[in-house]
Amino acid sequence: MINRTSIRKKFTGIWLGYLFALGAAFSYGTSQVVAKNIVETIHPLVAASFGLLFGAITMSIFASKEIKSAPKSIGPYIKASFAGLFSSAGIVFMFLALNTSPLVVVSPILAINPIFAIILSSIFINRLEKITIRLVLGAVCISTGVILVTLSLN
Amino acid sequence: MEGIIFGICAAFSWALGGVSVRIALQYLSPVLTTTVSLIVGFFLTFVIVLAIFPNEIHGIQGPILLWLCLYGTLNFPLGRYLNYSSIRIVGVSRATPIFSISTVLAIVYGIILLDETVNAQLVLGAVVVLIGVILIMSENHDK
Repeated sequence: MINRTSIRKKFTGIWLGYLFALGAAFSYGTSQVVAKNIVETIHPLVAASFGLLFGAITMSIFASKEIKSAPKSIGPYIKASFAGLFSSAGIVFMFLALNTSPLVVVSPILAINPIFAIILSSIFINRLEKITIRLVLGAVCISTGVILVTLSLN
Repeated sequence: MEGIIFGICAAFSWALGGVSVRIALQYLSPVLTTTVSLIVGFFLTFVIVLAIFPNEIHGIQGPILLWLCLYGTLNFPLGRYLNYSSIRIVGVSRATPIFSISTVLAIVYGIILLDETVNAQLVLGAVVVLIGVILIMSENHDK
């Protein structure tokens, strides 16, 4: 027999996840507008570095409340460190790319990031992620759309 | 050619970062994962800034500090925390494409706030993005 409560919980959970994803996109989009004001004065990488500093300070306040219940072993923190390392390396590579090539060349390449995410997920975390044709099609549509939108500015 | 290679490295690094987040979130909360990733990210970028742009740091004062604070708060604690929370629930392969719509949102802001012009290609691109988002979000997760 189908457990209605469990289905409702799952449905709410998934939609909450998508809502968080849209919220993240909204935050990133808004911050790009704010960043426009900053990069007229300082280099974008300097702005990103100080943005990370302010971000780390703010998040540390929230994290301090979770310290007691946090895992004691170092392993999970190393895994989280890799996340920060790769994300920031991405920012550095993006600025290197923009320094050496025009936006019209770099932007379409950056937009294929979701495709890479799907490929890497299917290789490294295939027990956690289910890759479907619909998902691949959706990611291809989004990457194509972002390329079209970005190139329309030139 | 260099730009293409660096661009591929950037896209690859972000994707790898997403996969690392998914792994880390099995053991840590989104708050702790976000905090650790921000601290590590700051040190990595700050070392590079110190090596390449040491003089730029002196220029950071007054109103620019406030702008940086706003940018840092919007992009990192808020954006990255929501990013990691969504990865924890729907997975990196489903959440990452949706983050990409931030580029479209930034351009929409530009049109609204800065009176930037709209053309057919931009509208077509936005529609294609929307189709992609609908395709992913309308997937039947009970299968």
